[in-house]
Amino acid sequence: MQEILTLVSWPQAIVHIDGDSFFASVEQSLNHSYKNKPLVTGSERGIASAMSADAKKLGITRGMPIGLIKKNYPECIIVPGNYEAYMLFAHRMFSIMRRFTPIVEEYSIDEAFADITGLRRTLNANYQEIAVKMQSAITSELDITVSVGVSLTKSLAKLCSKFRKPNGITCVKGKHIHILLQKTPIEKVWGIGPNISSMLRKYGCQTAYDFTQKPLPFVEEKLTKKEVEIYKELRGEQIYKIDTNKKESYQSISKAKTFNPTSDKNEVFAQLVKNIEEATAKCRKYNLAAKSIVIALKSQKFQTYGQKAKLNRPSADPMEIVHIANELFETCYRSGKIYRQTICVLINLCSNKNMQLSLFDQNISIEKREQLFLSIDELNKRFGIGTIHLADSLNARHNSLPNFNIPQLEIPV
Amino acid sequence: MDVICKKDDLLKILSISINAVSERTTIEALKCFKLEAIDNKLFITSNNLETNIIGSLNAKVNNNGKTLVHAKTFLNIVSKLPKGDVSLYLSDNNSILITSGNSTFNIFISNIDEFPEDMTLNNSREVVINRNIFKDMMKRVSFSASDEEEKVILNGVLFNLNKEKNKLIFVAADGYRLAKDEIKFKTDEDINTIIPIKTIKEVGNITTVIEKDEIIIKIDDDKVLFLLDEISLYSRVINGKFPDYNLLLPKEVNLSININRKEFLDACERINIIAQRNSFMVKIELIESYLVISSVTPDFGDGSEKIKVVSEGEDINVVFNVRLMMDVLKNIESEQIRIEIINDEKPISIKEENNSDYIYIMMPIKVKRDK
Repeated sequence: MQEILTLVSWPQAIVHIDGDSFFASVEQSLNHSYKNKPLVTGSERGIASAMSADAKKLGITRGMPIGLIKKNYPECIIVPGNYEAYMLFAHRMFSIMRRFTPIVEEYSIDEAFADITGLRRTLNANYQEIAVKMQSAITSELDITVSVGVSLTKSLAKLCSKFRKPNGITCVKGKHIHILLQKTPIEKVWGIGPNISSMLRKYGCQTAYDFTQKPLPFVEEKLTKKEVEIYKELRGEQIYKIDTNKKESYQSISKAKTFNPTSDKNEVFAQLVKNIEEATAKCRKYNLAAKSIVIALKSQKFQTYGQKAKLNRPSADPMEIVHIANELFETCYRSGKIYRQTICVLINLCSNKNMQLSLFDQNISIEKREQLFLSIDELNKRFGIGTIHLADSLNARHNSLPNFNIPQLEIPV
Repeated sequence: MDVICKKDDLLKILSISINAVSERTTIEALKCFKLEAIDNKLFITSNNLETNIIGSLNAKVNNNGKTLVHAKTFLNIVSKLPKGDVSLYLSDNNSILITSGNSTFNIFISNIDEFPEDMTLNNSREVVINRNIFKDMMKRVSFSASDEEEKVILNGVLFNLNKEKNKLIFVAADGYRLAKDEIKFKTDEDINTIIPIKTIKEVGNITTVIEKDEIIIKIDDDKVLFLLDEISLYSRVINGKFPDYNLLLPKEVNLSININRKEFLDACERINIIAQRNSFMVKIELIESYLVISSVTPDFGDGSEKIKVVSEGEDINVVFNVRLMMDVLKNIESEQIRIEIINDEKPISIKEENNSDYIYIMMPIKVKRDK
């Protein structure tokens, strides 16, 4: 028996817009000769980072080595990533959405949510028509395609936009939610990872619909607050509001560099230290300090091993962070394995302008070290990056690949 | 088992014991109360392997016996029963019959063999302390303990009995502040142990419902036992060495301010309305014979308060987190307090006027000037 989850059609209307193969679409929009051809971006990283629809049809997947693509699919166009252009297109896409409603959340570089509740009369259209208008404005002005979902909550809208892709539109009102959810496997729900979904499957939830049919006490007892929120969102009850806060500060800074694959422990660690030095330098540049760090090692087979640690106090001091990263590294590194990339992510950033002093730290030496690194930053600015660096990263400085100067994707939040 | 007891007596013990029941566990027995009727007593036990609470109440026992019953369900039923007698009867090996007035419940029981043994102490040392003194000292100190899981050592209160000085000292700290209280205490023991803050809170709650004026505390290497009237609470202690707090206590003063505690607290609470929008930062400075407390939140607004004070020493401005200040002002009673400042980077001390045994120190916020 099917149970209708809510009888109210539109207690609120949320739109989710998702760019189709966004990076590849932007490249095709900038260069019309690329249209309707297989295209891959990411030549500077040595692996495919985005594929056009035609490239996907050939069977090219994310992370496939560029060399392999060149060999197997000679017809495929391969271009380096042009992140500035992607940011610009994203910005334009968000501006178009803001013409319809001021409540727009820039969720990532190619995705956004908008609240269009109550705008039917002002815009003289029903919710689906408003979404169609947004979609066609983006397509005609930017020459890229986007997939659009409209429903009662962010979680439902996100499922909708995935439902028909590319260039699709899916609009699901309250009394039809259950139909959408029945067609959604549980692991496709936004925020439900492999662990939770396999746990839920054991309790008989094959689809999102099965999940919403469980009684609330079951969800509260077996799962955490986050899943309870998702559960309510799927049932049409709005929990996540649209966050229109202008993304001014960084929430995280990450540095990842690919190098000649090696199993040499010292070199892999040196590569990690180099990333830490660069990430902390950027952190200092913006007067920020990190409360936690994540390090990860990527093997030649693209398996990633990561560890996270919380710092005693917010810091942008590479010596302090390298010390902790060393412990994390020991738990991730497997001798004999061949690695190709190290990643350092500084997270939970806060301003380092006003610093709550700690009882147990040597506050004076901390300040001296801060001065030291500010001087090093000055020297590196004047004479080139890496003029002065930690001895720990020496191994990564002599035999590195030619510097491609990869633009890092800075996702401001 | 066949027992009759008063609903209110039972409920009182159950509401205390429920705090040592695990909710998220795969061991069914840990979600249960152990009920045990012996002679004229009914014992209620809960044990989550960290804490073990045993409570007893007077009851009319027709038949001795013991069983395990789902704790939350049992407590819910008992709390909703009408005033009067409650009868607990273990009918067969599968269920317990709970009756009171016109209500009858039959609840399935769990396997009693899976319930953990009660904790025991080895070579314990014993301290007897007045309930109110213990409660007050803990109130003045425990709010400073850290609730960050990573700082395990600081997740408790240092319980230090000093034979040489004949003192009982309590200390709690997180990374940014520390509170210490001590009293004269005749003793032949040296004890240094860290009691988890959860246990302290639990004991605090129990002390408000018991009648006896004395608390007996027994401590061994890794456990502590509180004997609180008809309730015994066992808890594991935190393993490790508490930081040497004596090294942290300031030895110098450059500015000392005497101020009325209540007035200062009220001012801080008002300023907090602005400060909470800017990392709780407030500044204090002396202007003539007034202490000026102010806070600015860019693009939002500012506020300031002034209080007449008696001060001695240099003019120093210092910036601090107003929450750290409000916490101490709320938890001590002294009418007048003294603020002692060294400079804008060293700990600020708060002392009570008539009690040199108490000290609270907190670190200021360092404000970097734009270059």
